[in-house]
Amino acid sequence: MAQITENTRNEVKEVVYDFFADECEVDVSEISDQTNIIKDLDGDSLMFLELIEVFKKKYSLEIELKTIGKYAVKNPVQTIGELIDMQMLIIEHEDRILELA
Amino acid sequence: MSKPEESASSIQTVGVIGEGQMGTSIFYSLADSSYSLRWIGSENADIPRLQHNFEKKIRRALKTGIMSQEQHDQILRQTIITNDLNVTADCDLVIEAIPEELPIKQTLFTALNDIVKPSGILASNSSSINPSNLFTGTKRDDRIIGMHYFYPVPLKESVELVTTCSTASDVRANVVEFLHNSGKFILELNESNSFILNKIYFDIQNEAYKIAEQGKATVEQLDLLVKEGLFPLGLFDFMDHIGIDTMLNSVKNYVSCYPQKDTYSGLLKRLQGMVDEGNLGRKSGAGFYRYQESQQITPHAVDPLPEETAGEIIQFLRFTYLSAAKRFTMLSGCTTGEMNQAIREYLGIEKGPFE
Repeated sequence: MAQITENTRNEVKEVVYDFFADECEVDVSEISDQTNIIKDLDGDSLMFLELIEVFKKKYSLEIELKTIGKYAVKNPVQTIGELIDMQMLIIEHEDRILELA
Repeated sequence: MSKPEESASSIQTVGVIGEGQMGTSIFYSLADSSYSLRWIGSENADIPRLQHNFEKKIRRALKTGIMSQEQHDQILRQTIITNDLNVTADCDLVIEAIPEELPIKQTLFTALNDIVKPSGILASNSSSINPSNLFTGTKRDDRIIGMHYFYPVPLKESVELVTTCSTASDVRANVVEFLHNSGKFILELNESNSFILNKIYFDIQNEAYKIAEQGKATVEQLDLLVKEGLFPLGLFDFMDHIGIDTMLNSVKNYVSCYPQKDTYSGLLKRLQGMVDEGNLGRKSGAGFYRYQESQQITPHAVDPLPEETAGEIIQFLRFTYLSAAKRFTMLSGCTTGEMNQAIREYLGIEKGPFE
């Protein structure tokens, strides 16, 4: 389980914002926690999966994609803020995230 | 997901045809492996855009440390994105993922038959058309196979592998090895009992539609009941999500070989009517539900059904689900364990029908 610090959310937020700015070719200033990933950024599940890989690497997480898939079916995210919240839960709970579902 | 060190098999060069949702998902699920990849888009595909997006993802993987410089360079070197079908000539395996329309697929496979080297395997990701219908009477009949992936491919482990009576044993073995190397869970099926996961779900959708048709409950009430008592996604919501036109084509293909076609005529008629009116589901803004910018406009309130009626309906739908799962398990020759695993993943549920 990764150590959660005060900076963790800021780190996650920065990575998520940079990721969507790069992928969707918009300025990072155009993204907020309220931005809708599908409606505003034309995002898709491939983007979500790539982000998961980034965080798995960054925080040495032990969690399978299918586990995240199961969690996401029950707890779908729509906005950037919700995605950041989910990433925080994944970092904190890793494979045990399903116990929260 | 495939890993570079795992792909030392007889299949080294893979072609993926189609730039839609499935084609893209299959391509990217293989893109971080050591396979030489050829991604072939349709004539209308924006190839520079596909190339740009691919390079962007690979560059970002390098930047974030997911990929080494060596892997990055290797992947770029061995990937071709084009709309020229001729690049499939040296492919060991070509996976088709184009729209679910038989004539279009037949034209494509006839062309591939002339282009791809004789030892190459031709696979279809079709969710409703058996591989032997794609073309017959050629020397390549033994090298055709069905590989039905589920979306999104990197998240869904299950693949329905459909062999024909002519599929050669080495073709089957090579594709099984390829899928295992990609971390996939294989449901091996024959053509008389193919695409069973969709068919099980379709049986439930069909029975639910009959209930709606009889006026016992509305589509919204049925979806609400199902979400509360059976599956995470509503039965009609699912059809809107897939696309009514895609759903209609698939259902027509399934029903064509069913003995009791009348059982499905009501839903087929409704789907045909919706397609004729341009109501293709989420993507068109209307289907069983209405949408605004791809978001469902949820009815303000769904009138609850009387408790007794709700109980009867959910019990009936659960019985339909178990009955269909049992029937298709027996017909397919799969074990109950295999079906539990595949259905759990397919429907996003905790327990399979036999658990």
